[in-house]
Amino acid sequence: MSRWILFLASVLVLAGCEEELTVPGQCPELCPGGQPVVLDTVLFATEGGDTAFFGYTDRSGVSSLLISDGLDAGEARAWVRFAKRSDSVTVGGIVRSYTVDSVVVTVNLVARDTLVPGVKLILHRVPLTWDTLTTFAEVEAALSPASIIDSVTIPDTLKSGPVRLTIQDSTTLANLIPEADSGVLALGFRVRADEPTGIRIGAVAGASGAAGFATYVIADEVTDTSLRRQTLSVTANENFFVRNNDIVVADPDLLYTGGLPSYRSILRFELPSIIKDSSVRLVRATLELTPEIPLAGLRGDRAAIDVVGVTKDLGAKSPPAQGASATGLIPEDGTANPIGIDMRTVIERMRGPEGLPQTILIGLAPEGGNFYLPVFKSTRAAEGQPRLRLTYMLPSVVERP
Amino acid sequence: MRRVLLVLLALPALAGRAGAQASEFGTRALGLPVLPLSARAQGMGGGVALFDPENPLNPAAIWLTQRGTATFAVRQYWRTSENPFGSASGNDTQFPLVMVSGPIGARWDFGVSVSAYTDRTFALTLSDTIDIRGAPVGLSDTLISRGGVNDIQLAFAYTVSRDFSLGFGLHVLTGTNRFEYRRVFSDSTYVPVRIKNELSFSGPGLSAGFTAEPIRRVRLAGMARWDGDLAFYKDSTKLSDIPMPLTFAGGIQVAAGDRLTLAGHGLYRNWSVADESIRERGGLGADNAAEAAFGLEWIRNARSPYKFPIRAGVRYAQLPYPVVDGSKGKEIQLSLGTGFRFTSNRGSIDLAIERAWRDDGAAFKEKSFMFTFGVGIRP
Repeated sequence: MSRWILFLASVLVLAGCEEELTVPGQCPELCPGGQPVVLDTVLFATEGGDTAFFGYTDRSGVSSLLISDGLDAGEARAWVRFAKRSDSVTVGGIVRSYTVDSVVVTVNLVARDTLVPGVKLILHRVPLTWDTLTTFAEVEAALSPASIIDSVTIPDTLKSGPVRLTIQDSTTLANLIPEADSGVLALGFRVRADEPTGIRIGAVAGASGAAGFATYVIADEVTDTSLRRQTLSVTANENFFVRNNDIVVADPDLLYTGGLPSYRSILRFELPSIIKDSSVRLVRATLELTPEIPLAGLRGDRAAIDVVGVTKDLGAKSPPAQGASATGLIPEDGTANPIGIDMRTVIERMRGPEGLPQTILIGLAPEGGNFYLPVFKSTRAAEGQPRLRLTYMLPSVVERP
Repeated sequence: MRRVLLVLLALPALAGRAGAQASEFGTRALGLPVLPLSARAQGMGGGVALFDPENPLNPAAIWLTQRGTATFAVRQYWRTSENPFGSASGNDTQFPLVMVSGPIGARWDFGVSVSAYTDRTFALTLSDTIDIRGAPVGLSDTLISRGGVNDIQLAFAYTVSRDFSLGFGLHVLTGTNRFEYRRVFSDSTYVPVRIKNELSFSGPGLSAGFTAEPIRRVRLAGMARWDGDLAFYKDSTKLSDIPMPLTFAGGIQVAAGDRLTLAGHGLYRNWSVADESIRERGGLGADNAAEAAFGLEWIRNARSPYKFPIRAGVRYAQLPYPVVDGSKGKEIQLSLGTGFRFTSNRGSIDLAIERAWRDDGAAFKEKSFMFTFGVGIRP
């Protein structure tokens, strides 16, 4: 009998483990409180509260080097300077002179337009005196046919990774580093292809690895064949890129992002009280920015606009708030139409009594090495001012019986 | 007795668990009224509810409690709902009744019970398309409601004579109704939303009843109940008071021979006292509701009356809250039940299966199948 009771109880308990309460419905016929209402409002940035500031990523912090040819995003040229190559090798504890056998220059491809085939990277010998203040005109003039060392075609299948140029020609090797340069090699880069294109390569301050320069030598007066061949490797310790459309004099009525030193722009809003009401659910918040000029970049090399909330509104030096950020990819179609960046997470942090200031900073990502140079209209523009489109849901009136 | 006291102490903890009978007819006002029935009474369609000492409906009925008794009922509920928006099947478990009763003197008996009074457990799913930012966006909404109003009763019965008893009950109506509204947009750039709210209720009540045996083998019973306004809170903020109905019930039980018992009752509640209040808050109002129940118990062996008797019953009830404006709901239940006692009648198991039909006379229909399992302990 007890087993039978146990069985019945078990059946009941097991049957009760899962519950399915659902019945089909339609509001307002069945829903107590009706269907929650979705509303939409547009909020313009506070007039005069938006400004562009520069200097966030400086020239020494360039994360990748831009090289382009005929791109709408602008012409870009890059150069690197390697550490000094030793003029001797040590074999068996004895310093020996050497004869150069060959040289391999390696650059790390970070991004390219994979739809453009046959991209040729051309290496030029450039002056050792260049620095981050060297202008585009100076670089362009120096990258003449006369200064070409060699070139390498980037394999069409390579999306990213090392690109190597091997130089074995004795004349080229002999002239690669003139004696007056004391073992220091500086290279300038340009690209060529059948159509406008560009590439990004690794930089000293970037995470993708800077250019490298390896010299394969044969030590003089060493008879042991296993010790004769030595390698001298150095990496770039200076680099930069220049472009023909850098922001030289910023227009105070525009909002800039990107560039070097990089720009970010501050925007301020005043959220309406309904948005601050904790019973209201924010379902979408979109920052709409209107480009002043078409957003041009390198096809396949996506960039984004970062939106960051701040813990205190201190203008240009407002500290970013943890966990209050949003990102919106820049369309690749070179649009001049407004772009939208969903930034609900940032607005959520502004709601409530302890909310963040209603201030945001917008910037370009990646910053400090990007073909895009987005410039947006400000609140001073006649039209296309920055605005926030907020979609929110009023709570269901469940207390309605 | 100590074990009875332990069960007694545990009763308040169960107050929040009573109820849970998902139904599309429970979406309005306070939900679907629930008659507090033991598994035995359930097997008889509720017909014996005014006489059975293991039911809290009539406080005078506990006079027949011969020793301390704790009873517990659990019910598994399967149903199919139909309405103009589709049909769906579901199931859930409810705990309709927990009760402890026993004698406290030569003429006095007491009873404490926690039972479901109304049940507002349901989940509605709906799909819609609305225009947001000038474009149509699909919505999938789910509204889940759990809980309802529970009835905690402290009852005393006084045995006036061997044929007549009186009973009095003090009631506290309490409970919560937890709402969860989930919305998912077809466009994933709109984040899914989950809104939770809690409604809670509290109110007092008094009841009185009698049982009498004016003629041998014929018992009569009656009860009346007054409930004060039900205070209605949303997230701890008081919103309003909802007037609660008066309840009147009368019944008759006939022992037709040694092995057959017939019992029935009629019950009326003037729910319409809350009509104005509910309409003021945007609801669809409330109507008075009557119900009638009839059942029988046939003892298979007169020497062992508790060994698998056969019970059957039928119950008809009007529903007080219209699902859609102007509708009038009703339910009909057919029941079958049995049970047995063991360990010298100290333990009992009662089982009931029921088939119920609900409809509003139009497009809303529900069919359900219920299995009730009751346990009694008499230490």
